[in-house]
Amino acid sequence: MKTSRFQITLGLAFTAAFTFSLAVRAQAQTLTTLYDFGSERDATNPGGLIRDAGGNFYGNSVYGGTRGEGTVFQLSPPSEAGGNWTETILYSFQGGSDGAQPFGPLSMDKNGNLYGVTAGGGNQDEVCYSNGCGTVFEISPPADPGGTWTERLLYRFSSSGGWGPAQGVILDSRGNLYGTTLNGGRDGQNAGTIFRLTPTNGTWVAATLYSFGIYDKAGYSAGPLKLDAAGNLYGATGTSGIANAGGSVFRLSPPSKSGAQWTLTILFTPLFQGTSSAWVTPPILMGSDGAIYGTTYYGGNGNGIVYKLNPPASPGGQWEQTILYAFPSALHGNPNGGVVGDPKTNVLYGTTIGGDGTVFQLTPPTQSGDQWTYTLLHAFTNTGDGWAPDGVVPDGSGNLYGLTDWGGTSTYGTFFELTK
Amino acid sequence: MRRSKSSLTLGLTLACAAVPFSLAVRAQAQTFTVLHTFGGGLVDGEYPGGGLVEDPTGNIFGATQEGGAANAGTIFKIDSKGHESLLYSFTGGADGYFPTSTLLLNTNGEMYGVTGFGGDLNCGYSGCGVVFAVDSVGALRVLHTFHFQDGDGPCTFFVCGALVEDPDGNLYGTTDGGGNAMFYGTAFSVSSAGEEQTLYNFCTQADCVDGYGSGNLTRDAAGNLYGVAFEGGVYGLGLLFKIDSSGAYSVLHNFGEGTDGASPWGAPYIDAVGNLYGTTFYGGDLSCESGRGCGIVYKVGANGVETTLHQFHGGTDGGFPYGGLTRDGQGNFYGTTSGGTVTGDYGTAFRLDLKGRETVLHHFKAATDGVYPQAGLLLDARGNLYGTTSGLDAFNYGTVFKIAP
Repeated sequence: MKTSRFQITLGLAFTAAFTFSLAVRAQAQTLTTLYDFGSERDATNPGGLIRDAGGNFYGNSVYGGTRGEGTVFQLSPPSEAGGNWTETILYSFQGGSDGAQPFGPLSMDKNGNLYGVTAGGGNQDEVCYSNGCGTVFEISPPADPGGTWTERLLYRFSSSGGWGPAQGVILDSRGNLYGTTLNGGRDGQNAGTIFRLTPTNGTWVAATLYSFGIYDKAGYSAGPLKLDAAGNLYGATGTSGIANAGGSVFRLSPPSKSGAQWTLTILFTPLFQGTSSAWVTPPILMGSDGAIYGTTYYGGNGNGIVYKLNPPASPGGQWEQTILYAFPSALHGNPNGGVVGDPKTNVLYGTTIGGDGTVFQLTPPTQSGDQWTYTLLHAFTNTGDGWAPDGVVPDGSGNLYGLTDWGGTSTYGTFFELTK
Repeated sequence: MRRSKSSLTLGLTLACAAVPFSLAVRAQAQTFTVLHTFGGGLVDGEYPGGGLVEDPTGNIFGATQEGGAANAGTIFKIDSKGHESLLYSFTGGADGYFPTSTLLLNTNGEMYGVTGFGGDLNCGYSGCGVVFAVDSVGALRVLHTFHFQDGDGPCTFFVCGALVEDPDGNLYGTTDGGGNAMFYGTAFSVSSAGEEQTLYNFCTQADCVDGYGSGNLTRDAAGNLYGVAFEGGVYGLGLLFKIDSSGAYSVLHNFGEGTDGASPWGAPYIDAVGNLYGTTFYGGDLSCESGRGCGIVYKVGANGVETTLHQFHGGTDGGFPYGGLTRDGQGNFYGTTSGGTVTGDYGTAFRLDLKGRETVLHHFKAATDGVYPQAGLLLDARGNLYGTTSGLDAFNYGTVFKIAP
């Protein structure tokens, strides 16, 4: 296994170079299915795709593998142009006290170790129902090429704290891991937490940084986190127990003194837009312009929006929301994975799950104040191209890569490429 | 017997592929509340017939198969504060007896439903049922009375989803008996003026390859109707059919081969591109229920390809779903299972995400929360789910429940 020089997570690497100066005309794109998931003991229903500097992709699958409890897999490009991509199962989860059903985006550190969460497995606690309280895992590359990757459970959640991790973990420069859970936390709330895992003398020490409440303005059901250079965490919640509220985009700031409480600041709360979960759990995008970009399942015309949150003009002021695009119909609507930015083209990309799903592009206006331009890059039809896409990853050369949850020749999902 | 090439290919695909085995996960923060427990007798309903419908001001309406002033069934209302009242008690005469479907609410505030019996009391043993309309203050009128040749006993196999309506106010539904094939039921339309038309007589093809026994219909914007048959078809285990806008009947998928689903009842959910999603009562995991399977969630794509999205295993994840599916904008499906294989499992309300992960939102276990939900769930604009349990004498006469997000 080659050691990647990549720093922290891929998502952050892309966003660091994100600017808004150029508009690029949309070009016709061609979808190619590079791999079909779901043959005997293969990964099924894949997600969480990331790319390393060498052009390999990594993801996890909720199901499949030797025990049907999910996998972490690698997709390697062909050694010669025109050849086939190679899928390798790096680890099959065993269920029980091991993890089960990995879910959400993977992260990779500078040594090529992969980090993620499993929704189930680990402690088989009565409160966590029949499926376990969930785990945080690390998958380490072999010392020699062609060797076996090694799984290590870094943490097993239990019902005494947060449990049921939601969507992956992110790393900071000191090797701490941060993530969210959907369950546990504050007594009687079961609305989830934000947690940190710190490597300490060969073990990992867990801390609950924040515990969500059902009737708090910040909402609950938090998605993946992002980190800024100052160590603040950012994320979004999807729902709220308060009437006419639909979650929030929040910042969680570290305490000025060691041992003190982290501080949650609500950056934005959407107006309730007549449909449930108006706000979002998909990942947010931290632009280098200081703005936050994301998607909602609902809102706009009821079929979801792509939004931009501009930071306040002065510290402590209000964040301002702009709707970049409101999906006009259910046909190609309901964006499900946030947006990603291409560092070279300054274009936003995302996927939707209305119908069989789409990949779309939003091109910024050439003049400030003009409309963004929407382009449908591909509408899935489950005719070899899969259905239900789960976000896309740009390669920096104008090509997009992604996974579908379902479809392909073996039914259980595809790995696809969209080229110019 | 003809074999469908597409379903044969599909069966092989399914048999070879690693079918996901999953245990259900528990929901976060969801709050389950029983809004009403039916008390029965002359003053309250017994045994909900179908699911629920909500008006713009938050009132919930449904029907019970029995109970009320003549013990012939009721229409009930639960206001936004949770108070239940009877809107109408069927007399069991010309107005029908034993309402059996979820109500359809139109934009004028009028609601439509069917009864399994009553109406023409010279028809069958106790009437062949009616299509009725009832307004928000309980004034009921009969739109159509079935006389056997035009159908008999709508939704008497199991409770049904709602009738569907086209922009001209025509209603569409199914019956479980009658019709010109004598016993096997019909698909019908009833105009707003009460003119009934038989769209299809089930089991008019050899060996009933065209199926029979259907829990109502789904309609797309182009005017095509879709439904499932519980029995019949190539494998005798049900099918998915289409009646196009010109009235032509075709089978889109035969259930029951290998680990495919079997015996579907609830009308399919249709998405913006014409994919159909639903549940089957049996089939799937053949280690469940002595080889019959405990049911699946299926998709039959607009291109005719079927995919098993989830298999029920009859344990804490539930089994044997009757009702149709509801979907949210995140792509999640919601539904109920009517039981399980373990004593004391009285069904579940579940969510299924796009990766096929099931979350049990509520596991019915005791007399206090209801038993054996059969109908699909109502999802309101705020993300609340509403449903009914069918009830069992030893516990109660059914309940209305709410699951808040």
